[in-house]
Amino acid sequence: MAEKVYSIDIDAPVKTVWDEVTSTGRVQRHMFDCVLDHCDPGKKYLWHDKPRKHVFVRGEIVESTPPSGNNAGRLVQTFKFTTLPDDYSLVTWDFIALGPARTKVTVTHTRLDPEGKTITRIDGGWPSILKALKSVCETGNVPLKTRLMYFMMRNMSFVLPKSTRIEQHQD
Amino acid sequence: MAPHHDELDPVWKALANPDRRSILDLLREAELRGRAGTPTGELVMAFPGLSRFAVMQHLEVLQDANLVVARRDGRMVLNYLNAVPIRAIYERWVSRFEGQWAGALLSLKRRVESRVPSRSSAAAPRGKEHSRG
Repeated sequence: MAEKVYSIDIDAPVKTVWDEVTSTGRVQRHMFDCVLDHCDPGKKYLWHDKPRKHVFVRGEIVESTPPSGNNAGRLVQTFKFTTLPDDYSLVTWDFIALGPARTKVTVTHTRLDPEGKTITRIDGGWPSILKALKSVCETGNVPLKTRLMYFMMRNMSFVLPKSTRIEQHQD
Repeated sequence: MAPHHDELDPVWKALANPDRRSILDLLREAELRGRAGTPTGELVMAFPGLSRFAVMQHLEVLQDANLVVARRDGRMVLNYLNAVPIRAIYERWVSRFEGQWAGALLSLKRRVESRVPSRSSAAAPRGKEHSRG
């Protein structure tokens, strides 16, 4: 099974970054404007669009340990694209404080099938997500270009396959 | 013009050396084959023309630039390619000319969102301004 690592340093306190990544019930601007419905360990989660019509990623929250004091934060979740037949993979987020206002975020994506499509798609996805996360935590928003891309994506939602419909994921 | 320093400086420095670029290529190829990280010892062996010390120094430069993430696994150190800084370079340099596209899309966005017929768009109010803030 293949494994990929993505890492970025952000000029913001570790708690700010943690709160952004684990925020639920509202649009996550770094995550292509998706909404995370839950972030509770042992529970299933969905990353869906704002109108709750389409689900893009689903899985289960395995661990959710907020950063505290000198201890790093960690979020572990199983991960599956609703549009791909690949099995569940595993995503581990590590949040390490490099200073009072500097944080290293590392995403380790494991249990990836080297022959599958997930591995190619995440190679485009995680760098964008981490760059957007940096921008949100440092400036409060993603760049104009990214917002325009989100706008285009929202207006193209009619091309999404049936497998993304939320009714198919409310089990 | 005064020299302009920024966060990407260590990335440029790291990429300026052909041996370091070869190390990145090797890591990428190994990952595409389904390898989970490449041991440092294997990288040393892949460069018979370089000393172990030289390879380790290159790895240090690559780590400083965040292009390589090193993880200890028992007695081994595993090296992973981190594509995030490469994306940053792409976005800053290669996609510069996309600015024109962004401008065109922005006017399209305003038109669509304010539902103003295109023939009167020149005099149209800006409508909802989503790009604010």
